Amino acid sequence: MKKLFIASAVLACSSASFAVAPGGPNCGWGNMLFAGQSGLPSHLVASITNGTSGNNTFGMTSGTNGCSADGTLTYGGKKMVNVGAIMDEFSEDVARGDGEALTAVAVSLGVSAEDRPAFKESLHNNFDLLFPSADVQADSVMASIVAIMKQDQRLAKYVS
Amino acid sequence: MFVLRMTVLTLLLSASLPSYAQNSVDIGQLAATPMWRALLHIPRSTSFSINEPASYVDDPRFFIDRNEIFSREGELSATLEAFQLNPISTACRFPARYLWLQSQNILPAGLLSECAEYMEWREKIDVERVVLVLAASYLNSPSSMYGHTFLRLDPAGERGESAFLSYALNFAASIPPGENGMLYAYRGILGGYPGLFSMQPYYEKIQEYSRLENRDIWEYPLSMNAAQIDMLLAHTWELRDINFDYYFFDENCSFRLLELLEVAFPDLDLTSPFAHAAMPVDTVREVVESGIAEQPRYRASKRIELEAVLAELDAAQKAMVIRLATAESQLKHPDYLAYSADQRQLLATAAYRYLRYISNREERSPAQANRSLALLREMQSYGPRAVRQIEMPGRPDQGHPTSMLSLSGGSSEDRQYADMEWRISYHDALDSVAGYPEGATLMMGRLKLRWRDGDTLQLQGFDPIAIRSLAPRDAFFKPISWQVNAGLERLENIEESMVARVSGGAGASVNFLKGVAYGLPGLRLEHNDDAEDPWRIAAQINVGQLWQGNVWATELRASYIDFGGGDDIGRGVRQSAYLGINRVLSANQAMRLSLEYRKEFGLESTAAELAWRHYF
Repeated sequence: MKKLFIASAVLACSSASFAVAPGGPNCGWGNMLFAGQSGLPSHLVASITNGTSGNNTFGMTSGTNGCSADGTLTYGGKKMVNVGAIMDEFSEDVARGDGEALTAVAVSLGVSAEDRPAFKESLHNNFDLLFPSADVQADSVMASIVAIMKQDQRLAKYVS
Repeated sequence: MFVLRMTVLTLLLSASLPSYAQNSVDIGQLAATPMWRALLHIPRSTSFSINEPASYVDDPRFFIDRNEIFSREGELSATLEAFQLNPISTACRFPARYLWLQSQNILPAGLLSECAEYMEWREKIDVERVVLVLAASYLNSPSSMYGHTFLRLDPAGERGESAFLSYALNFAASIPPGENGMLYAYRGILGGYPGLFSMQPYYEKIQEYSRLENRDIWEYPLSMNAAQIDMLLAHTWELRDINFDYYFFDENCSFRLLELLEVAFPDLDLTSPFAHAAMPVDTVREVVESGIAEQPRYRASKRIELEAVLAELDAAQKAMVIRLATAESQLKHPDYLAYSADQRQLLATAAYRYLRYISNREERSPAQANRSLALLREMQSYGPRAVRQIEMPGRPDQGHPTSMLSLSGGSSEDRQYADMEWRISYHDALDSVAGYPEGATLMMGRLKLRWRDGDTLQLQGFDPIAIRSLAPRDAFFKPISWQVNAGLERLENIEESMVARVSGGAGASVNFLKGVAYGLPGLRLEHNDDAEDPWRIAAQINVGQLWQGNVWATELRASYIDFGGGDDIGRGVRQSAYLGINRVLSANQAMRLSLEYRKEFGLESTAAELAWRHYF
């Protein structure tokens, strides 16, 4: 019984210690590029312990820290991979023209396998539009992706 | 609608269920099955145990039977009773028990479709493939020294094409934030923490291991059919928020994962070799040997990726990479523009990777962010570029086994001796490096016994722990090399004193002559019963040169320990020089030649020894 109490105490304090306003920095659609360690809240505990930060026990509900706990966010009614949480990987993939983060975004948007090269090419060619400055936030990156797709006849069907 | 369906179902059940009680369900037989053992996490019984072993689960919420004394039969009877009274809520709480009992034709089909929360979870993760993941050993963190294992759950269909859409299922101690590493190691070993299963996006694991800790990740897909995956996930659901005591050595992350796999493969014995200690890499080896793992995929750490890019550059280009990473104005410098477009893209890529590598652990700064973006833009301006494939190093599951027994014969000052050494774990720098991190020595529980002609058997040394991490520094990487030792050691002085000592130090190492040269200054605290003043502290320094390899390895090293002046035993200076050459004979055998010169308090001695090492 005592153990259970300790467990819930642990969960309580770790959630509290990561409390960030919804959409605030380092999480969700408000995240910026190149956030470094501060962009990885779960790491603070995980680095020494392999431990859990407590708010991600089963990826069922959205996290108590305002970040999505299951790795997805909703964009225009669509379940999207949390672009804000993978901004660094995503921006590098766009610059290179390929990569897992870019594929994940394409798949989340429902872009079929045959249109994926076109999607990757289109984003790569519009790098400056997607990332006009290092302070760009995930929601505006997402809006740019949709705008770019609408302009592309092969991709417009996925965002209409 | 839902309520109506519930009512109908309940009616159906209440009509059909009671029949099983009379329907000769043989509780004893059913409770003895491997599946029921696996579902309840009962340790595999050894031939020595007489009593029914209890479950590993330390949480009363996992059990239905309220009887104080746990038994398989009691829990099964209570489970069947619960299904009779509250079929749906019991199925929703224990979906794996339900699936199994249903497959035995004891319970009716279709109950789980009434479990909204469970079905929502299953639909959301929609798992088609399960992958066993090993994050390589990481000496700079006590909890990760031996590596870490967890499962990756890949979604069905196109979503399975990027690991960024997968989930990680992890068993870990739940630790208060800010707990320090040593306290963790201490409490982890003694069971001071609750352990829980948890899920999170797999990309968080990639960010944690390959980006922040620069650890390689190995992904072993498991051959599992839909029914086995169903059973695994149903059981995972049963363990949601259920508390196990977490122990560092035996009941750890890796052991719990094997138990989970045994629910999917009830006839496979994965856990019994690990009743006392479960090294993550050994558990992976066991899974591979059981035949359920496919070819692994290697995910290089960010540091390895950066090294691979740097390996293509000459010295002038490397200097340019540092200039680019320091100031984006260098992108317009004539020196940079003199390179071809292809080379410029490579240089910008290296500079970007390097900048991210050094700023990963820092707070975000506008200058660093702007520079990163400028380099990304530069990379992009030359068009798409395929990622350079990194050659897969030796697979960790194919490295030498982690326990070792060595027999050696030697001669010291014209006296012959025979040694027997037993090392519980794990690796030293002269053992074959294939599948192990470079420059690492990590030994726990090393015991050395010596028999000499005309003498009896005596303890020569005992080291509960010995760690050494050699990480070479260069223009790009500035890690610290360090070592820690604790244990008993026999001196070569007249008394042959047995001393207890703790020593440690930190220094640097560099790549030199195709090997690694190191210097590690430090301190040594020693207790010697034969001395008038038993406790003493010394300054020490170790310098050496190490060449590692898959077949041959050599180390040359010298140490100097200064206990200060005085005539008492143990005062003065101790010096030694050592040459060790290791030759791998087969996957689990090696020969090692050691030559040593010691000068302890003015007394000189030399020794030569040849050892046969067997890994198991």
